[in-house]
Amino acid sequence: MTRLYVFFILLISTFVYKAWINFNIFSFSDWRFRFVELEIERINLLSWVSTNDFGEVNLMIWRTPYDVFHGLFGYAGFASNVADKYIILWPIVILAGISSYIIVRYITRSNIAGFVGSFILAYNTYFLGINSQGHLLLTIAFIFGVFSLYFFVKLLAERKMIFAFFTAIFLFIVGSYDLRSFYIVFGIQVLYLIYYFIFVKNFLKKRYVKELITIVFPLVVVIPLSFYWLLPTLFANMLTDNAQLGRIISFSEFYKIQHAISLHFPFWTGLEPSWDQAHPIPWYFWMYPIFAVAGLWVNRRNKNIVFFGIIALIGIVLTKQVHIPFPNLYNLLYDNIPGFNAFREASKFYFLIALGYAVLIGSFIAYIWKNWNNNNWQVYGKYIFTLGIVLIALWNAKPIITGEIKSLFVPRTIPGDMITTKDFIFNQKEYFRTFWIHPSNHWRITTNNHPRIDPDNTIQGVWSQYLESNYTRTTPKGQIVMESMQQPVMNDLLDLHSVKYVFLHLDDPGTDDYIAESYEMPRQYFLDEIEKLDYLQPIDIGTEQILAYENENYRPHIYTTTQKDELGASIEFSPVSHNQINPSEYRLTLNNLKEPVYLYFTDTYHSDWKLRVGDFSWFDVIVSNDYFLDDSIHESSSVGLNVFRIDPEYIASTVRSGEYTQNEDGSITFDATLYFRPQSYLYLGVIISGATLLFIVVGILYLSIRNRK
Amino acid sequence: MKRDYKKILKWFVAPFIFFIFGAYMTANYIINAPGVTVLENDYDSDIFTHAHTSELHAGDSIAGEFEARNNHLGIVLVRFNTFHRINDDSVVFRIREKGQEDWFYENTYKVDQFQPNEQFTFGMPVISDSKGKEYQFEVESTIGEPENAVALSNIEPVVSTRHQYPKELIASSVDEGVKFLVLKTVNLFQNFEFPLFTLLYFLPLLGYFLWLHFFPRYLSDKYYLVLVIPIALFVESFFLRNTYDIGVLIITVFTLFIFLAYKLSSRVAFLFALIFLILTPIFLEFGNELVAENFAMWAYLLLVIGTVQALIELKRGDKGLVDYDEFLQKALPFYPQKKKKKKR
Repeated sequence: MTRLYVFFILLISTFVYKAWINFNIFSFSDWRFRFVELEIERINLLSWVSTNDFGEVNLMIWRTPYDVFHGLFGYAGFASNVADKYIILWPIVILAGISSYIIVRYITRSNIAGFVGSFILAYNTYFLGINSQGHLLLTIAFIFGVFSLYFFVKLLAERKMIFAFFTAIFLFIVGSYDLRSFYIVFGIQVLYLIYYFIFVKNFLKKRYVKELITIVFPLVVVIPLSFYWLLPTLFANMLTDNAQLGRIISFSEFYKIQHAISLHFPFWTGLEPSWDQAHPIPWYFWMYPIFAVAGLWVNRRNKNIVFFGIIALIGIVLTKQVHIPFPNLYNLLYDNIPGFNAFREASKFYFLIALGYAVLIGSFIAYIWKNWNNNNWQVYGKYIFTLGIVLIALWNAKPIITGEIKSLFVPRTIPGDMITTKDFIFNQKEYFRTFWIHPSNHWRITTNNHPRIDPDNTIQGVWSQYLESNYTRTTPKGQIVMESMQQPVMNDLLDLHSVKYVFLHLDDPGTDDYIAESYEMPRQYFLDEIEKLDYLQPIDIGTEQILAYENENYRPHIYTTTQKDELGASIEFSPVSHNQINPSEYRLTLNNLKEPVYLYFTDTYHSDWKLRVGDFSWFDVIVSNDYFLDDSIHESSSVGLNVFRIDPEYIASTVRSGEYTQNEDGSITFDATLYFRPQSYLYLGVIISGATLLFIVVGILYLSIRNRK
Repeated sequence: MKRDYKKILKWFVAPFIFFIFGAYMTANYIINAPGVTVLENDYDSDIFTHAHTSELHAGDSIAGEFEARNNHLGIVLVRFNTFHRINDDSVVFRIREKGQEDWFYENTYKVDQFQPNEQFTFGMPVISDSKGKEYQFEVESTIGEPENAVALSNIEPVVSTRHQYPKELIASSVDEGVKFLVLKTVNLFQNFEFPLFTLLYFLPLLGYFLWLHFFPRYLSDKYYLVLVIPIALFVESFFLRNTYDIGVLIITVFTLFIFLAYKLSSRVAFLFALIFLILTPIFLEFGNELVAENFAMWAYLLLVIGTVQALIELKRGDKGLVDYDEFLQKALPFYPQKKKKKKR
């Protein structure tokens, strides 16, 4: 019987998501296609990422295992359209319904309840809405979170160690996809543990104390499992730099209690989601809370079902963000609960409502299937109610089935111009950045060796302080960008930031990506204006929709000068020969230093970039004091990049004699390592987390074999 | 000695704490909304001489006239509908005394700071002798366009005025102080919310005395009194515009306390929650979003109450509790009464 339900769940899911059952390329909004060259680089363990802009702390460091998987696909020669299918899209198709089926079935002890519950959770408008926008990692993380919850509930009921291992391993997977989902799932488990001790079993009794270790194991072991991101975050200066945690609460006007309680994502239209306003709630969404209350009504003596009622209620009060009731509660939690400030908008808590409702509604269906058998009305009633709630949930999937949802369900083709440009850039071995006046919405040509920058983060971001700007909110973006490009300081900014090529991407026929639309100025305006930029030399790379220009006199990634290299200062520079181990580690050789020089490294300044002269070991970074040259020689350049003042006398006086060579003319030559310090903590964390993971996997295998015997 | 101590605690200390709580919260309300030295007057929508509730596009305007009820007019508040989006328009606010040619004050405001269906504060230099004079005002859109503009809200009061009395004037003499005190008191009670919130803040004190003295003697079998709660919440949903966390919390705890005192089963709370849940989409369908939102809120809070009761029932069992059908029989005389089974 179970197999039949699973078969139908899979059949329906495959039909709904038929647009994803292929290797087509999908790219929309926050979901971007990655060329194979970038996929390969994701196998690196990185505490510093340099693919975008001028490099930054890896704010998504918890995604390291997920990135490594992508890297493996890259090494096999596949771009992200293949990796995404195996790692995200197909697991959503297969597991969304099954995960909810097994947890609802386990709690209600009813197959039909599990079947109904699976549709409530798998086809809730929050999941479908964010999927269309490309926030798929949240969805897949929550799906694995349901598995973790299922094993945790089972662990507390049956006290078997193997369930503790499964709980932990699924929790680890959740954290690898999305930390906010991990936070929510882990929170539910802690709450369930407390609830269990208060309402289910009194843990103070002796025999439960013995079992406490098994029960608490998954919630404790998750700490070493998380060391790979916890250590670099806690022991380096990464947490303070995490812009994700410092953002203000937003989208408050959209999240209201009527949307939360009816499990209606405010941006859901029943067609393509629209993100500019809260949309009306169709009447049938109110069946969800009514059926959920009915579930609570008939199962109020079932401790597990009451718990999932509490989960739904917590979800509702958080999801309505700053609206009634208790409008100040969200701000209070945001300011005072550690980690809660990762939720700048409350939509993630829809998961709690969907999960709670899936169990409650499932439990109501289980009740009527068990008790409504006395007359025809009851028999018809249970069929009507069951079919009705399944159809309501499935109706949400209609725009996906018909293709009306568009967005991430429309396959894309890479334009020939984009492939030509990509080959032109990636075939060059030297390091440089590319500046895209109008970047493509769908295609990003970037690697660690050729990072891409665009006006959003430069002209309208970090460079705005150097540019004259008298624009209003209504000034067309295209006008702001092109007039900024004409300012004299722009040439210096491009030079100092190692920008070799400037590209003007005009249109991407067949998509929604047109320069006149996104930059609010006619196409010809850009063609006219770019001709006026005499510091750029047009080059023909064989493309029509992408115009290429070369910027001469751009700085190498690492170079030295005898004076400070500043805006407006036209001074000589010497490239430094170096070898990039990864974006966090560079081996350099400085030859024949006689006078003090300034060593420039054109990544964003960060105090954890260090310079080591002589032998280098990542482990010594953690255990040794004064391992690097003194921090006083490191500062931010005039444009916010890294600069080290290297004085040969200082080197000779502080470094052991064997670690540099004294030349006959009195100059010195030495090898050095430019290193981002948190990288060592990442390595250490990966070793500890990896060993813990191995222990859990071995534990699962051992217990499985033993149980079979 | 021990009995005396308990008596003091029961009849003096506990009521005193509840009284202090009520007095503190009431004082806090007066200070925060809208300010101790500020008088606020609400006006009906009929003060508009030119108004429409559709979007204000570039060049569109709304205009109205009102007679100031107090001196020291300094603020005009107008309630706008932002359609729950961030709009890019700017509006010009102008005001003058009726009969004057020139505008007394004019300023431009970005509408991205307007909150949905909340009053926006148009400030101006304080007019010290405003009482009894008629004023004309106008709000004109400069660059509003379809789906990027605000509109006049239809939630009353759409327009209010605030009168900022100078502290120096109030403190200048006993006469002025008393005069202001009378004006402030009258003004507070003209506002529907003040007496409601005062009652709310003193509800714990009231509830305590009810529980202590009246409930066991006179009220414990009067189940119809419980119905006052959902009826009050229903009626209140039509009038309440601003909710305060502490007020909602007091009502929730008070309701829970009443349900526990009457030994009602969690299903009674769930039943009330279901009624509010069913009412919410009906009022949404008729476009009364504010009332629907209040209904959804009470549905939610009744679910919380019911769940808390369910947890208590899980711990203590539900023996002796009054279930929903028994409650309805006891509370509603017209509800079909169950026949008692004859004992053999």
